Amino acid sequence: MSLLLVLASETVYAQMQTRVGILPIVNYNYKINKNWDINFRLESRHFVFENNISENSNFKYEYSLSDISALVGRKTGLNSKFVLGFLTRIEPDAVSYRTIQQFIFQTKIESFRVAHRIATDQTFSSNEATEFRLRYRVSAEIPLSGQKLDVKEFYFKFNTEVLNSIQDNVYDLEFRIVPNIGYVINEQHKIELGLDNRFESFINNQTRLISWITINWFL
Amino acid sequence: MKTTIIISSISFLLLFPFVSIAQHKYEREYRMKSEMIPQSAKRFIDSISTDLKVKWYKEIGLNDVSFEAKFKHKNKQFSVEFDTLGILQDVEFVIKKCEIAPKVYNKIKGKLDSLYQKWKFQKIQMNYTGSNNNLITSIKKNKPTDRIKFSYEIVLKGKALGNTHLYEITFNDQGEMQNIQQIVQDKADHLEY
Repeated sequence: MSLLLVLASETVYAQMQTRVGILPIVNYNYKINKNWDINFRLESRHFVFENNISENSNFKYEYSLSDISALVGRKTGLNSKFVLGFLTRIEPDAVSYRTIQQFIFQTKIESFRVAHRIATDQTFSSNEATEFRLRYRVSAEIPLSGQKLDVKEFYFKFNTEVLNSIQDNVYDLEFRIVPNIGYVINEQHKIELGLDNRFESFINNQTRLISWITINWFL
Repeated sequence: MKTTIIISSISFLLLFPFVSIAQHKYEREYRMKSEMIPQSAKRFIDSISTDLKVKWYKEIGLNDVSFEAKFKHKNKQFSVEFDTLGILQDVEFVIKKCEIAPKVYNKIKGKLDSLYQKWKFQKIQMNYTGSNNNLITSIKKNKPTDRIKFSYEIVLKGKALGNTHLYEITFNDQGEMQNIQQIVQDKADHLEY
């Protein structure tokens, strides 16, 4: 399986424009009461590698952006919630803002939990037209020891997402495939190491891949 | 810009300090190789059938440790629990609601209707306790013998006073409620956000 993934990645890297970066994320979750919770998230993106088809590949550090967001969730059922939020994106030469709406529901298949997220968002900035996105993500958690995830245990988490966007009457499509290895430090903290592969611009036939090495801390 | 990001990161962490954990509930389960399981426990499983594909688990609670065998037999998912010496504790297997005797089912339904505005079964398990020989006979015959004590362990989604929760409720063989507890669901922040 790992060999297949490596071979597939090498083929992909050779054929399309690829960028690789590091993406540390801090996710703070706070339960306000039995129905409401809040999520604060801080992430920062740093490119470290670039591979253009026409040019030689090279290692080059470049700061990309930072996101700060706050989401408020309201339980709508035993395993479902509706979420509203706001994100601020800080880039070296611009700041943009995003409003977010999500519906999340969970199911369980044998010993692993699956979460589905249907989301819309709107990104506003002073120098570009507003971008509207409709996205669907499915995330599965598989405990690596036993049938249930416990403290001091590892787990595998796999996210896959499809994103439709429209900006200035131009439609685009993006896919994300994100394998993660996680560890439950204690009841409050989890840490995940993953590879967030984003295949962008599918429609224009100029697909490029951005792979983020993610380190995600949940507290 | 980098300084701004570092300051923002530190402020973020300072604003939301770690929440201390009120009480640590220690409970773990993990897969075991069959070589690590007491012989008497393995003999019991083999006496049901030697063709079973058994997955063994060790469960560590706050006060006790047990071994659990999970397997499928006659299209039913079984879970058999032993103590650390390999002494049988109980046998559970998943059933469908139509397998509950109509008279008993009506009694259970009546009780659930009185407890909840809305409810839905998530899982129904039959629990057998008795001597090893009687248990083996009952499992093989797919029916409890006269000397077997049995009960129903039901996991359901119930709505009461406008709130929906998961509950585990035990009913005896006559459909009388023996025990009820709310199931605390595991955190899923890392799946949702």
